[in-house]
Formats: sequence, C-alpha cells, structure tokens
Amino acid sequence: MARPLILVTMGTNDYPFDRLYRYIKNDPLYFDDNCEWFIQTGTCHVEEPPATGVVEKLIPREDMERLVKRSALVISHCGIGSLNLMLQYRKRVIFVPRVAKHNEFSDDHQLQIAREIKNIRMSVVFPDDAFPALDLAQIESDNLVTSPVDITNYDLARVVELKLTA
Amino acid sequence: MKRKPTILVIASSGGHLTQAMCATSTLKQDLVLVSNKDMLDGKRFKHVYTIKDTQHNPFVHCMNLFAAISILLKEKPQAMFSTGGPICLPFALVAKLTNTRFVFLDTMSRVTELSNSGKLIQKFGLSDSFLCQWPDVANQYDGAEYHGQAFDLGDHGHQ
Repeated sequence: MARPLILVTMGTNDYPFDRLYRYIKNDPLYFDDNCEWFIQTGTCHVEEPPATGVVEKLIPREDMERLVKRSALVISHCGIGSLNLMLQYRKRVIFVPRVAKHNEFSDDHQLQIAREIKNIRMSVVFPDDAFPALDLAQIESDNLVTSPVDITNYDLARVVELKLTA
Repeated sequence: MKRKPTILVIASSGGHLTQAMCATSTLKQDLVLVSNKDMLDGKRFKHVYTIKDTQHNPFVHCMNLFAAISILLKEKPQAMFSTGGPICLPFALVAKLTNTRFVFLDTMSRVTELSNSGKLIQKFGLSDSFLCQWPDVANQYDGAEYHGQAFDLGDHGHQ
C-alpha cells in the first residue's frame, strides 16, 4: 500500500514561518518513513528534510493541485488560495494562520479568515494553541477525493461581469 | 480582423489570483493577467505579464506605473478588474487617468476592514465599482457593495 502523503504549504510571501516548520519537525511522523511528505516552503527555510519526501520552494499551481488530490492530510498557512483548493477537494486540513506578533505577516488577516472556517474536516491552530499530534492511523483511514467540487460563486461572477461590461 | 474585447485582470499570486479566477469565471472576453509571479499553465489567460510586487517601496510602484501604461497601450482593454494586492494600485491610477472602467473586489481574507490597497482605492475614488466580500465591511465604506463571496466557504455536507 502506498504511503499516505502529508502536504505542507507555508505560503508564498516574504515573511518567515519558522513556527510551522518547528511544529511539523517536532512531530514523530516527520521522521517516520511510513508516511510521505511534500513541503512547499515559499521563502521559509527547512533545515532538515523529512525522513521521506520532497521539499520544494515553489511549484506551479497545477502541480500543487495534483499533490492536493493525492494528499491524505494538508498542513497549511491560512491563505485564501489554500483554503479554496482544500475546500474543492474536501481535504482534512490543519490550518496554522500566520500572525503579526511572530513577524509571520504584516497583519492578522489570516486569523480573521481562520475564525470564519466552519468546516468539520478543517481545524485551526490559533497562536496560543498547541499543534495537535499527528495520527498515522487516522491519516491512512481517510478516503481520498480526486474530483473537485465547484465552489465558485457564479452569482458574484455575474455581478462582476455586469459591472465590467456596463 | 476585429479584435476580441479584452479584460485586464490584475491580481497578486495566491489567494488574490484564486479569487480573481472565480470572479471572472463567466466572462467571455479574452482575459489578460498581470501578476507578480507566473505560476499558471496559461490556459485561462491569453497573456500573462509579471511585474514586481511591493507594499511600500515607492520606486517599485513608480516602475509599475510605467509598466501599467505600457500594458494598457498594448492590450487596449475594454475594462480592468482587480482583487489586489498592492500591484493593482498603479493600474487603478492609470485606469482613472485614461477613463478605463476599473472594478475592484476587495479580498475575502479581510473580514473586519478593507485591505490596505482597498482603503487607498476607496479613499481616492479610483474604481468605478467597489465590491467587498463581507457585508459588515461594505457597510463601513461609502460606495462599497456586497454581493457575496468569490467562493463558498461552507462544508458541502461532507463528513
């Protein structure tokens, strides 16, 4: 049986996100070769790679989508692009919002949107929370969704179309 | 041969671009993208221009102003649409100066107030239409409209 894939995406902005790296590196699964990791670091620095997996700075959107399809668990910053993709594929996600007090962003807008997430498959690690222990059995038990749900709001798109062509 | 109308879409990579793609999903015109990174396969957009990203560097904004003029002259868009970030500011200014229609959709990630780019566009009246994705935000600013969010945040009934 293929090893389950844990996908980590730290965001593409210029601020560091060492906290997320510490979270995953401190979990025993990081050094367990029963699972596979893919880490998109953006501008963050990953000193030590996982036991099994790939660390890449930035990958094209289409490649990211292919990885999301395959992943059993996603650990992500709380950016809108990630949120959109994970909702489309109904992923189990642990969101870690970047916060200004740790110099992970210029403001706390990732916290604002994190508070609006009401999806049962998605959890949020708020700044004062501990990162949850990863459970390989639970990760392996998830059914993978490979075809996306269309979550586009076409009503808004039609309003934009009208505004642009008025 | 008559040229197909073009809409110029300005959106930083990541969430801004995701929202722009959702919000322009019904458009039949050719779409030309201006972004700070080219991470797409090019199927959706006729052309992709990349410019430097900045929040506060006036030199980069100034360079982007010239880029905006150049792109506008080349593409002659029917209208312009942006979801931010700061790369949209020179384009909003050029749109105003050239009387090109400019529609701005502030990002969904700003739940309690406008983004910094949104504040500047709203303050200086640089857009013909100004849309917010949260009703409480729209209610705080003159001329701002709320028509929903670019995509559905619900859980789609999956356990």
